[in-house]
Amino acid sequence: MAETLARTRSFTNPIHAILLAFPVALYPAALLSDITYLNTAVIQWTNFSSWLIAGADVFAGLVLAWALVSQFLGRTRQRGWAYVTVVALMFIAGVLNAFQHARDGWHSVGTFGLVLSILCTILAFVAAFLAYGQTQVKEYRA
Amino acid sequence: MKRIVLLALAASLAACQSQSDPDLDQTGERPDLPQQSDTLLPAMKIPTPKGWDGELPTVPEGFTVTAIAKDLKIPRQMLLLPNGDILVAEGSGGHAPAVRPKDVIAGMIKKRGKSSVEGGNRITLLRDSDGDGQTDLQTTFIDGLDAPYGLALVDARYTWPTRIIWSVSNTHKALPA
Repeated sequence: MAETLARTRSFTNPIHAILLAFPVALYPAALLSDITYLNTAVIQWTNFSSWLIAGADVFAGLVLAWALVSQFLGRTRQRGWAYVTVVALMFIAGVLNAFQHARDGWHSVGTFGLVLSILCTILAFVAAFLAYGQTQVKEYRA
Repeated sequence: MKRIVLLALAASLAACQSQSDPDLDQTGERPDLPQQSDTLLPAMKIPTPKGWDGELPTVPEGFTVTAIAKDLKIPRQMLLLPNGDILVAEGSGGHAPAVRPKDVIAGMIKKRGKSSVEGGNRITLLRDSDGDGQTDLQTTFIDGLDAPYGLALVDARYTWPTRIIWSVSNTHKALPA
């Protein structure tokens, strides 16, 4: 007699979750720091943003590498291309943002920097929803 | 015959050549300023450091150029003393903190254009005893400094304004006899 067992689980490995926690925390922090810089023109805020983005980029790169490896080699492929795409876009936007923030003075943020920071923040949140969200796993037993 | 002294700088003179457009009139009240260039990836050319190969600058008739010192460690400033001795400050700094991630990366890139010689962190004394234009005595005058730079003769003392100002007052030293 066939038995269908449905349960829900998150598809992330705990270490992957820890790595993803950094972009999730640091990109929004950089966005807040950018907004503060645009409001105050105190140069230290853009310096803060630069470090936050650099740190987020390092971990975004690790998350992307992990996602790609598990996409091709992993046992559980439920993560799918949507997650890989979101993480890849987040990483590319983050690296671009790092170069943008490497410009000097007021040019270091500007519209382009702000847009990239918003984009990174949104993509980090989307990645977190995809990663930590519950996945339906159905097992069929004969 | 007049004499122009030349320090055998480790840095390549070619590195100092300007890249600016010779057609630009950069003098007067309204100079032609180049357009602002602001790119995401800065266009950079890092010169490769090269030792001095004996090349000498061209000087007017009646002058000659002679190297008076070699094996200096990043000479940056020199001071001609009333008795004809020359003090040379040697050092290369490098204590600037990385304020932004860019500073870390820019430091690595700029290092490619820097001499492999370590800064001497000292003041060297050059003395021409017999007045023939050649250095007869090259000796370390003061050692253990932190990237000495500007030199000034003040009240018969030799001072080097750098990070530690107080060292001026307690390490002044008599010239060798």
